[in-house]
Amino acid sequence: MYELENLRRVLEKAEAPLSSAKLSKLLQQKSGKVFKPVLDAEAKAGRIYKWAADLYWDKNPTEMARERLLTIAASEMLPGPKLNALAAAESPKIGLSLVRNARTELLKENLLREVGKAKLNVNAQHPQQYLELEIGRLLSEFGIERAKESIRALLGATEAKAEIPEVAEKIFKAMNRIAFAPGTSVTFYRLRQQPELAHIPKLVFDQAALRLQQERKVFLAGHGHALSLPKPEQDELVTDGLGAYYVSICAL
Amino acid sequence: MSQSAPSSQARIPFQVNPFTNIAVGSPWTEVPTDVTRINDVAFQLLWRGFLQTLVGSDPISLIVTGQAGSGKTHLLSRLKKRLEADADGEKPWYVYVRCHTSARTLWRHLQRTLANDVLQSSRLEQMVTADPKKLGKARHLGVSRALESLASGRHTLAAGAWLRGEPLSDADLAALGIGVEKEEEERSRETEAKHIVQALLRLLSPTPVVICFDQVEALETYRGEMDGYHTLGQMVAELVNGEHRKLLLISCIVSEYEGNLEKLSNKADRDRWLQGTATLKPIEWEPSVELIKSRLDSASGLRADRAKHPDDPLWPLEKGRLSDLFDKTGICLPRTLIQACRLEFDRLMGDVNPGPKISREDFLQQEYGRLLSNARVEWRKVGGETVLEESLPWLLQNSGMTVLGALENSANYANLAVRVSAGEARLMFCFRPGNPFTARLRKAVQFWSGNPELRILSDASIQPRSGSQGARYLEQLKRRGARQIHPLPEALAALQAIRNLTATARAGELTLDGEEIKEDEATKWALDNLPPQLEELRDELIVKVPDPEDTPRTELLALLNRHKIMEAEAAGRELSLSTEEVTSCARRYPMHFGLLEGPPLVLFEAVEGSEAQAANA
Repeated sequence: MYELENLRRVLEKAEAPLSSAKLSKLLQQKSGKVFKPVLDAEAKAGRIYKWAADLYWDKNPTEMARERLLTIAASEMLPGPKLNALAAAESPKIGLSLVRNARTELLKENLLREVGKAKLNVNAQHPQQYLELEIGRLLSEFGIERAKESIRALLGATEAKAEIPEVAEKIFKAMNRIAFAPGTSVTFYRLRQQPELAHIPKLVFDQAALRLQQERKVFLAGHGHALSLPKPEQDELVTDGLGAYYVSICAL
Repeated sequence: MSQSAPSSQARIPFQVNPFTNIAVGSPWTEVPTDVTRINDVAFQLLWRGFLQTLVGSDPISLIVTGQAGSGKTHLLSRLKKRLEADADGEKPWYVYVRCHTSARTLWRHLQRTLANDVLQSSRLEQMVTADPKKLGKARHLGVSRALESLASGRHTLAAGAWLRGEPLSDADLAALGIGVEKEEEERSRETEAKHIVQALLRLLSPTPVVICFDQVEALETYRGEMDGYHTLGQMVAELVNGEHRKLLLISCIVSEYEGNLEKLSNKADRDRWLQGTATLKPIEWEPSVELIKSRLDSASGLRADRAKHPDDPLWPLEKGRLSDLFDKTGICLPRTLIQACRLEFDRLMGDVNPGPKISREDFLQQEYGRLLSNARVEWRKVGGETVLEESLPWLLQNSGMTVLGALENSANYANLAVRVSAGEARLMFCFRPGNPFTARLRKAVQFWSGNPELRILSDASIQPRSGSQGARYLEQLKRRGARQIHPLPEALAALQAIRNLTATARAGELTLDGEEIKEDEATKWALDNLPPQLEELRDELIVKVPDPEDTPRTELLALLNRHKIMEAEAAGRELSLSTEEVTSCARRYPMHFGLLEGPPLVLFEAVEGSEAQAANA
């Protein structure tokens, strides 16, 4: 039983996928050749992931490909093949066909959108760059010239207006979407991983969650020893800034 | 809630306070009242899960989360009652596992609780007696032999103890027809426990079995340890994939630890474990009224007076004093509500002298004392090895050491790897005498090269006999630099008691006058009040240089463990030491040895409190 536990631990610590030879050395197995079928069986059972013919890791390459595609698309608008190539080439490398499939899925889920004749990819949750260009283009079509700063301010103002009530609404929707069943709790750790909530500043997110509780739409489960947690873990919680910390949310 | 001075005039006669029972300790204990509309959504999820296991052919695993005091254990109790009352056909088996254990001992813990719960009645014996052929389904010789013994009424105590995984003497094992472990048959006790659990489940199949893992967060032997969650995830996945197909697994965890389940890296295990979840929420005012009313209705001393107030379901309590609890959010945890009712009820009974108010420190001392009394008797049943595996990481981690778990490169001889300031060390726990001890020593001789440091924590009373193979291995290890440490029985009992104290606090069940005592406070108190026997163990684990006087102490410990009391001169003769050497050793270790000044000088084994009774028993 501990063999698997140690394998998991070694893979968790690894910064990149490891070969069977490297793993067998770290785990003091007889040889990589003998150990490879064991690793293949673990990968087949879904307990670890196979990154190439002889590369293994505990991280899901599909999930990682999705993250990379969304991150790149949030900062740069690129055509599909170029975006795929960039995402695949990042270290550790991911197979191009897997990245292609991941992008197709993101397009289906409307998390990525292809815009214009060039079919440039835009992150639907972070469309600022695209909107900036498109609004500028539309304005100029009608002979109106505006500085980029003005357009950015307009987009920023939209965000500011949206802030707490809109974020609260987003939280409520995301919570209901990802909860196992209506009324079951969702941790803030998981909620913050949702693409539509990931970029929201912590202060705004926390206030929005507290607002939902004040409106008696949700219940926030308290955390009794938040102050003894390491800072990164503390930041995963929602706080009212007055000493109360909350770990999860569920609809009332 | 609003506060006021206690009334000097009693409004109700003195009687048993119906709100005294604040928390359900275990589903096996009687629950005072049950308002089924509270947490009904969660209950329906569990019940549907059970019905699905009846009609389907796949085990189901569900998670119940909720804040401390939201009613998780109460829910398990409700399920047990319903299973006993409503289940069509053969009654399902119900197993309650409070997870006061560790990643390294989880299967042994499940074996103990499974065997304990299924042996609570004579149903299993009757099943075997009625159809002895059923034993073949277990496909495990030991399980078959133990159950044969139980069914035939022979060696029933030994058979039950074996099924629970308690250490047995060679004679008891022989009486049961179960082979005494040979030196070369050394194998993982966890693996053996797993085989026994699987055999028992095969035997119980196809009757449904409901296994409830409560206080899952207690698997963290020290704050932040993730191994327990990984291991329970693996265990649940193995049970889900196992041969008993009508299995309902329920895991209850306090909300603040829920995120740890999401962080499990093994997606396949996680998916099998988290097939559905239910969240227990605080309750609104209406169900609260029902809860209070049901408790008040259960108080026979109030019945006549309450009948005079038919329009006031809360009488004698006042609504205003309780509804304050709901002001801010409109909801309140059931335990908080019951606690408030308890205080209010006490107030209404008037100025009955409540005695001096106990301080939090004194309360912790009192709780610890209670747990220690139990632990002094109980630790021998689970074995020193298990106690150390479950509880020592807490002491190590809180004493500046880092627990590295059971590392692959030393797993075949060491139970635990730690990092101390001087570097890494391996800890080996040996509390089973005879062949198992020799086998452990042989493995260490074979696989331990002298680096990192090795510390053998063993029971002084099972020291290998001089000239035996075990003694030769031990000598060989010591020559390479291994150190032997003998934790005192009192240290083991204290470790177990502290573990239970902190785990109870973590589950939010340690309360004084309605105020929760958090785990941090309980941990701090325990560290500030470590018993000397535990301080000694901690110091021995930290110190790098071995005590040069270690050998006479070990030998004297073993000798007195056999004789209990003897003259110093006779002890010296047996150990080839002078009487002065023996007495000076005894004086240096007053926690280990007692000394009656003579003449003649008499030595005796120092044994604490009810440990003495346990040892005598």
